[in-house]
Amino acid sequence: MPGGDRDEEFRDYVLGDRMRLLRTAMLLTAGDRHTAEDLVQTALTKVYVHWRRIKHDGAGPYAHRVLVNAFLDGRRRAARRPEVMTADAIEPRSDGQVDEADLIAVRKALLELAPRQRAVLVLRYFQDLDVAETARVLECSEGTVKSQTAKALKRLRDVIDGKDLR
Amino acid sequence: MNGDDGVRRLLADFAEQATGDAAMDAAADVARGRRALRLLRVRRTTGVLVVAAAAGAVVATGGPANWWSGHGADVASDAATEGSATPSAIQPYEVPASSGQPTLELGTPMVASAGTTVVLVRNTAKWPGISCGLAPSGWNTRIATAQTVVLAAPAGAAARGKIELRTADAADRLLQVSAVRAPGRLVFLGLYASGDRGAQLKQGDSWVILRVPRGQAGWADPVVVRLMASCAPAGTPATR
Repeated sequence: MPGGDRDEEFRDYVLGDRMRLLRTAMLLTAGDRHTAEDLVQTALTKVYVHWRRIKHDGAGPYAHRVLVNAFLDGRRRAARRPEVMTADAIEPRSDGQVDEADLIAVRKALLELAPRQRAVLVLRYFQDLDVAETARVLECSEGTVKSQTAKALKRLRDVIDGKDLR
Repeated sequence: MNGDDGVRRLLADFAEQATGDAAMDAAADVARGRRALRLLRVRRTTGVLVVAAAAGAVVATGGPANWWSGHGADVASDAATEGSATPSAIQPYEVPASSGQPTLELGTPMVASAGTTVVLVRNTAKWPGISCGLAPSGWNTRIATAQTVVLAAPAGAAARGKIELRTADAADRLLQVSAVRAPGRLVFLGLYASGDRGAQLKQGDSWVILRVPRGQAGWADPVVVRLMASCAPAGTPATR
């Protein structure tokens, strides 16, 4: 069957990594599920197309790099259409484990960050990439990553009033 | 909630809560990927076509004297059989040959006009009217009469379609004719008025004529020439 191996391997990868991709996308989009899903689909489609080339090096890092860059490209294109906070973008689960006020505050903080700052924050503190890896993904200098991280943390700290994030 | 760990936890909690129990449809991701890959291949093929067309235009305009005879008059047409355009009057483009064999080796993939390739292999089929030493690999004989052979591409092949080989007492009328000299043969290539591609060669008193429907991929001129050069009316020896 044409593409049989590719399909099987890719399906296995999707089952293992899609949720993490979606979570990353949700952070990047500050909880905009539709845009997040679009980003994930964009990333996974590129992964499928380039599967033969990237599967040996690990599709995960490639997919996350595509995801972040697709997000940044999208924000650049939509620069004249600022994100607005809507009431129904996310529907927090009410399982009592997480303070919903925290979620709303985090979302507000993410929305107030510039896209690149948001990306830096997500890569450093959600993906756990170090400065050098983050710089490679964003194709910028390590100094830029450090300064953007500092600014992002400060904005986050300012917005989440009363929370100790230092 | 302290320092980096506090940030990590906030982000992780937010991501988990916002994502929830999202449904995962891996099959849909596979389908999207396959669609994208197909589109990409179509675009690549289109690119090859554009380049091939541009290269063909350069060749055609760069050396018309070698490719044309009679300054635009139809060659190998009805008139040709009447002697108005004999091979001696033609300044053909000569296919370089070595060891008496056509230049292109058996089974060598060639750049085709539409991004696909027809590969010629030794012909094992016996046709009543025409004898060919080569045949397109995998193509099936659909019709084989005393005058006509119709070959069809294998199911699922990129280059789908049919070609028709036949013998006739007179050549067909072709436009934009060029003559290509294969070892021991002179093959006339041209177009039918319908846009179908035609190739014909005279063998004794008969003509062997190949018709490739318009838009059919894989039949680059060198492939056509090699096939034609291997064919002869039944009873006449083919070159190989």
